[in-house]
Amino acid sequence: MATKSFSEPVEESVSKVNNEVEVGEDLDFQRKWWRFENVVWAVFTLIIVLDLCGVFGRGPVAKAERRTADGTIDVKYERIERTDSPSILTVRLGQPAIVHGQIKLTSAKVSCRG
Amino acid sequence: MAAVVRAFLGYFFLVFIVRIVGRRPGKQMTPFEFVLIFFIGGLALTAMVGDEVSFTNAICQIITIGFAHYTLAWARTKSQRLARVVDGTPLILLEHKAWRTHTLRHMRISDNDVMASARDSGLKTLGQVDRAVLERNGEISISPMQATPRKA
Repeated sequence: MATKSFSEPVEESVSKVNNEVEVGEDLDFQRKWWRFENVVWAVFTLIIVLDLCGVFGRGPVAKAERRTADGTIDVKYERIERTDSPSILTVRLGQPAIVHGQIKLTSAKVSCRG
Repeated sequence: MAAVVRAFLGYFFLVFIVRIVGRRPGKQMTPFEFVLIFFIGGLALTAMVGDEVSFTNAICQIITIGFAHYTLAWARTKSQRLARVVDGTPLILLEHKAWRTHTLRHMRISDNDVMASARDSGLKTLGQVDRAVLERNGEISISPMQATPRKA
């Protein structure tokens, strides 16, 4: 029964220059990689700027407010929400909202946790 | 289940980030690198664990990362291209008394970093360096000038 050989002859698989020390440098690839890196850094910068602005929530862009002209109701909410994260909804009611000493607040869909 | 997927994706994302941030020269980590490693580690934890703080989750995620690492290490040996993308290639920083300025600038390496490695190899001046190579792990390997012609 033939046994599988566990050794292979060493070949010059790493590129070398002028019969000197084998380095295996690949400048063409590296230049492409540097270009790619620059693009990635630009994307990273964009992500951080957008985040600071609140495009992904919790920032100026994400904050929204709606109010009626007479000031009966004033709602502050977050336009952009984050999954599995709490968010704040502030409802300020004016005097006209109180009818017979009661306030009725209805919501289309409420999901409460915690 | 989702936690395992998160760990898997998180692993590749971190590999990508570390690759983009780049290698810094030196055999030992400077305080600079420590901050990066610990900070990224701590922040990654938040994303990986989420609200599933449990022993089962930890075990499953660690196994997943083990698998992801094994897969990447295996794929690297199969594809030369992937190996280049994951590890990069060694880069010559100094050769025949000339700096590769383009490489130095892109890799954010100064002549002081090269000199530090030269000292480590027992050389006194940069003039004694025949070639300095930035290895894939961030080490700078130095070949000293040959005093006598090399034997064939």
